[in-house]
Amino acid sequence: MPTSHVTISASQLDIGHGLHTVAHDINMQMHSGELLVLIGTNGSGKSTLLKTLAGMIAPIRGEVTVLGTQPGGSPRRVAYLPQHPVSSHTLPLRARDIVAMGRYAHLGLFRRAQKADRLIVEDTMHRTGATEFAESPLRDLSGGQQQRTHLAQVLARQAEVLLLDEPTAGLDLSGKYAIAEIIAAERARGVTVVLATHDLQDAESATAVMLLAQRVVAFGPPSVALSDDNVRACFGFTQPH
Amino acid sequence: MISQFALLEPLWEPFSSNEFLRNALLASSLVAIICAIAGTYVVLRGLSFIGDALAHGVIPGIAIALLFGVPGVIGAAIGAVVMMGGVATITAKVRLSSDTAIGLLFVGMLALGVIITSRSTSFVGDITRILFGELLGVAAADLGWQIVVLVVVAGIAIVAHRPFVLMSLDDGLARTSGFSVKFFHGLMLAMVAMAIVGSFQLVGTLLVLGMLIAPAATGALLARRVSTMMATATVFGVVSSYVGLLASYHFDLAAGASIVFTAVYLFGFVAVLTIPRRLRGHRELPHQHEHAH
Amino acid sequence: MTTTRHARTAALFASLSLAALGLSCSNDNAAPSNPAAGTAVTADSGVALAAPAPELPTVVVTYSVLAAVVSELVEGSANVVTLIPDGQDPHDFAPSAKDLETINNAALVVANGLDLEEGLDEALANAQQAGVNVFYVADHVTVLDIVDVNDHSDHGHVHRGADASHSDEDHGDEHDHSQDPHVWLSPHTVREALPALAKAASDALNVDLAAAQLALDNELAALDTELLSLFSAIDNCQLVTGHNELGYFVNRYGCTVVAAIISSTSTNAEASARNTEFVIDVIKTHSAKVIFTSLGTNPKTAEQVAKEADAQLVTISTHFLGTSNDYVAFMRTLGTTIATSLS
Repeated sequence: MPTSHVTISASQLDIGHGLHTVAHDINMQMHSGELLVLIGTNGSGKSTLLKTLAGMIAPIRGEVTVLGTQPGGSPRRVAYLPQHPVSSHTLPLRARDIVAMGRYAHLGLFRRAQKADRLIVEDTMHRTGATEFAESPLRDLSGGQQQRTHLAQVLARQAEVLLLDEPTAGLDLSGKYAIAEIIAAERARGVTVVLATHDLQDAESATAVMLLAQRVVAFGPPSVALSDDNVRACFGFTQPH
Repeated sequence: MISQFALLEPLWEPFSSNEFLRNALLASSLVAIICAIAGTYVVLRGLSFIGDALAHGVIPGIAIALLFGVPGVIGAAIGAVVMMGGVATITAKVRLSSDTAIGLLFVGMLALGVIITSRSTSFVGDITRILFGELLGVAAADLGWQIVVLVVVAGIAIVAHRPFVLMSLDDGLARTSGFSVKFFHGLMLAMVAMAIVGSFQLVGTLLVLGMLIAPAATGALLARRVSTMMATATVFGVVSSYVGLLASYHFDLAAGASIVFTAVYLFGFVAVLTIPRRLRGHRELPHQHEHAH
Repeated sequence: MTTTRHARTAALFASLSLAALGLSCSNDNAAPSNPAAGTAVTADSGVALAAPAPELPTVVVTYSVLAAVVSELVEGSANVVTLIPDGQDPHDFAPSAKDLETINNAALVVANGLDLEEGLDEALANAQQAGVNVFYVADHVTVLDIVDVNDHSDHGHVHRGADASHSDEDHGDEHDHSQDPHVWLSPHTVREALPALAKAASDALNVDLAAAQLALDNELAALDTELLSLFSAIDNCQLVTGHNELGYFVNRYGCTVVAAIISSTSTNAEASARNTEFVIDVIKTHSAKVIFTSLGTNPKTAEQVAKEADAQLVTISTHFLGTSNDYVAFMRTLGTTIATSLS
């Protein structure tokens, strides 16, 4: 296991869109191999934080660093999986092609795909179970299958930081287990994973949990952050004990 | 044997005995190739509306060029640059209603073009030629321009293929893969504008969008990969040119419109033919496994 | 969707396609046939003025009035084909593929020139480059400048045989619209072009046309005399027209056009409000009682002006033969219509 070092750090970070702040004063440090789970309802700021870490939105205030540079500064080493509505686009793109696009960050404009790239694509498709429909065009895939494809694409980048926005959406229980296994495997390789979800169950093996409800309700190890009070503040009710 | 050939004669004789018709076929085949390349990305990315806007927006440029005796192609090129600037400015500044703003921009340009042309004493003829193209629109000298356009469009496609494909899936994906969306979006608009400039003389600005979209859309129905889609689009484009020109000769129809109508018709035809395949695709999904291994 | 519904969609699509095809193919522009001369009318791409004899070369003429003149000249030696169907504005006419083929295969093309047939400029230039003989009538006559009657400008001066053909490749809008293209509306002017026309035709067809030329010349001279005497009997011949097309006619027969509803010689300029007002004023001032309208004058505008000026609308045929058999009948009809309406 690679030595642990700081991969993501934020101090006094305000995130939001334009002039509208969605969450204030975020402070955190994540290391390689760790898992940060962002929990909150829709509109709580989870996606905004992920997008800020991905470099797609500028922070409103404060500092944030990813892998030593500003967010978006090292596209080869950071992979972002956004929320995907089910696409009925008539794109003539096969699942395999979509996954292969995950290598483009490394290949740039002109470098040809090598055997190594193809092996990586095969491997990630295998890990997410996308191999069976690799040759099918996107339009023929169900929501869950599309999700597996997009996940495989993200994994194919072989990044050091994974930012996943509701990766288990559209997947059944077996699919969720598969995701959990994949995340565990990535962490074992030293990848830092930040995962946004509104499912409390996803937070079980997290290093740290951040509850968001348009503000940071709590931040800390799961046992501390997921107290009844905090959960109530976040969702308005608590889990049954 | 010979009598069978004679039966087929109406299919090739008009071309073999008329140089202007051969020229037109060559020109519209070049148009088909150019539009297949650019159109593939337009269809993938869903840029049809902006493509239409660009097509209408070049009209004032053409009108002014004609008024001053300058080749229409140059006017179209300048008009395209102005339009792209307008579209880019609008998209950057007006986030929510860029759709409306772009619509207004190109309608305004179209009206301006008609006004400018109405000042000429051959208004009806001129505006007809601009909007609907003309059979003799591409002379031997103009073929040179078209080849230049083809080279540039192909060059852009080769260079920007990956970012273009990424952007057709999701702009964010392109961004996080390290490509500047602003730059490549602009490049795509430039490619579309060039395709229009290289194609409008034969089929007219009103219809050139059809050549951009219909063959590529047909390709999207039939192909499973982008490269096949482009190749299919080329084939359908060239076939449409041939059939359209032949029909316009034998039945005295407007040439440009015949070509475009054929292209659109072929799309409809293929769309109907592939309905069962599209349905089957949804039913024959491979079952989701219990475990992901 | 089940197989049945799919089949139904396909069938609907197929029948719509056939309908569309049928519609576009059934568009026969039948030009008006001329029973007296027993003419045969062929569809759209050229009206033959007589049943075409198979072995003769083709002479292509752009519009029917001119074709009537040319037919008399080359009768028996060539088939005469008219390109622009009657009723279509020569400015806007765009040649079809078959028209282009006909032009390219013609022994001789006779055109007016002075941008009358604007849409044919490029086709004729290309044909000339390819070696087809193209004759522009306006190259061989005394060309009159356009008099903008509605602006009281001074008389246009006259120049001889300016190069009216548009032989350069440039399709730009450098048209010299100060010259009046309506050269066929005076038999005298047509006579001017006759020697050159006859020579071009006999060279292109390789026949001797001296006899035909003489006969036609005499006809035109007689017609000219007839019209001269007809109009000498009318004092104060002042005309109001739809658009300013009678330049050559009035110049020859001693009339003046005092106002035109559309103020340039092209039919494309719209009648502006101010101009219409001017025309109504002029009509009242001159106590003109007739407005002569023809092809290209917007009927609604003409009716409105006539109503307000309390004048009568008389339609004259200036751009196509109409019910006349030949040029003489055409001009005679035109002359007598005008003369009768004025008295």
